[in-house]
Amino acid sequence: MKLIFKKDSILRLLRIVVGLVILTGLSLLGNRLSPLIPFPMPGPVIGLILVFVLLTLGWLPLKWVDEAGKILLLYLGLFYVPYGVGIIDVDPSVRKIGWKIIPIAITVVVVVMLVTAKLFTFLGKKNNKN
Amino acid sequence: MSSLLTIIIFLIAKFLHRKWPFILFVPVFFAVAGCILVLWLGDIPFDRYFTDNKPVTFMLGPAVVALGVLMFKQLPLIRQNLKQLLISIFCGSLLSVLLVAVLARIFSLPDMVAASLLPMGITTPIAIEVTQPLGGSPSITSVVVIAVGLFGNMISPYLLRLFKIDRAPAQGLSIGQTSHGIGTARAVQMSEQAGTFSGLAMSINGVVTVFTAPVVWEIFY
Repeated sequence: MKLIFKKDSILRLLRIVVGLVILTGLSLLGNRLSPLIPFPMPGPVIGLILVFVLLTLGWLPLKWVDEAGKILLLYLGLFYVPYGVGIIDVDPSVRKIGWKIIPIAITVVVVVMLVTAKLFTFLGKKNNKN
Repeated sequence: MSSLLTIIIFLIAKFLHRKWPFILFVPVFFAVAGCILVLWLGDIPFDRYFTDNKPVTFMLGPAVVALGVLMFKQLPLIRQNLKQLLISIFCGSLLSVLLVAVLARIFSLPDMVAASLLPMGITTPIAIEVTQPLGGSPSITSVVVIAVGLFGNMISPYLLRLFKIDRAPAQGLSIGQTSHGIGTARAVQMSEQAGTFSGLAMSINGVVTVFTAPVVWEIFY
């Protein structure tokens, strides 16, 4: 019983490591492919499409990337923190007009969030009726 | 060293926010504010901090790829909602760009600044590509895009409650649409479905805005 438990946890760890390698590899591959695409698309978004296609075609079993993906997404916010700190690196010229930019940004976030969510819900209800 | 600082402050924030779900303890906000405070107190230049944090930002790539795994798992739900999803993202993109253009006129911002703000709802690397041909400044764009993402990450659960948006796909969609990746980090915490739709909205809205932004710019400027 004890032995089986141990074997399981080793397998789980192995899957996490392999999953991290696969997801990292696809991200780097996406970075390489990005300049070849005629419109701007970041490398990791291309990697996202690649992993989705590989999973859908069944070429990549879900169990090899599932656990690693969950762990990475748990810390998605962390990976953005250094970029967030970058707001102190703002150009002095922006600081002067910042008071105009802030209300614009807040309005856009609030209005677009409300309208897209309500539109989506409305279209969904209409679809279900048909 | 600095990457350790980022990780530790983030983990402290995660702990605090789980214990007391108070808005100032929202992990991304708390960690950003905490790091800024430490940089200021220690008189550490941002460039050095950012270079030291390469291991942290490097992981962003694989984490975005991991959103694809989430989407695969939620495929039936995506199929079921695909048409309204695409229409909503397209309309949201157009609305966002139009709103920025109109408000920039009202606040009489210079053309260069208006062009820099136009793609504020999409992920930074695409936003920079959108703003450059219109005569915007990539440095203004990236600061504004990040600030919008932080704002969305912090405030979206409250806005969703206020507007009574309670279904996970609609929640995720509206978060990804307005506050791209940083908002998606919050949506992922809410539910797997919200995370999926946020990731979809972020990816698709980025590409759609490449086409909507220049058209709206032509009309207004």
